[in-house]
Amino acid sequence: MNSLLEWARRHRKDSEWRDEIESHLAFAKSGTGRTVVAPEEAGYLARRQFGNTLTTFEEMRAVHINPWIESVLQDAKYALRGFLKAPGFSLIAIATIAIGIGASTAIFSVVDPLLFDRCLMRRTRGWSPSDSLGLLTTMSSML
Amino acid sequence: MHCTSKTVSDGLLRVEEGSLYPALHRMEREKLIEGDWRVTPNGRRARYYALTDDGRQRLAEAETNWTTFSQGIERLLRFA
Repeated sequence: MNSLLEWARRHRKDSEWRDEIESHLAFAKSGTGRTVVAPEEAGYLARRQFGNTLTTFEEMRAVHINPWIESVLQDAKYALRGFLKAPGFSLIAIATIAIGIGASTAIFSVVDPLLFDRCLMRRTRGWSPSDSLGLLTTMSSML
Repeated sequence: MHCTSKTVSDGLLRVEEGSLYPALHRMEREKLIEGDWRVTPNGRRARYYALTDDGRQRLAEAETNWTTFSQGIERLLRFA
């Protein structure tokens, strides 16, 4: 939940985290606490001692915002963009998946009570040939 | 902080400065430290971090654990 809140405030936080890195670099560049070097080298030295600023920023961000939230949202954005770019193809794909799921569910909801529940009844109550005949009749009437 | 760790350890501990920030933020999230923006004597804006009560407690625990561990290793090395 905290991660979601942080994600909602990410733009403000992003600039705050960047400011923090920049203030560190400015402090290091000023030469406080170390031997004074030529001004043109001070910035380079400060950045070298700090390491990769982008990696640090990303790691700071990952502490506050769960990477999976961004990953899921990026996937959703990508999917939506794809849908808008080729709506015909997307609708056919969605319809195919919907029909596939619907058909599988329908077949399962017919087959499960007819075959498996009956098998259970046969095991518990004893089986007679008329059961099998009844089952076949029911299935054929449904088809 | 980085300068302090380097100076106090007599140059033995050299940590890449950038790696401190994710660690600081993790500790802040765990409420072990508190950070706030202030103006430095040079007139720059900077974020200052201070230990919380929980942080002090955790530090004391970590110090105890470390002392026990390092004493154990030292004894082992002397025995060897």
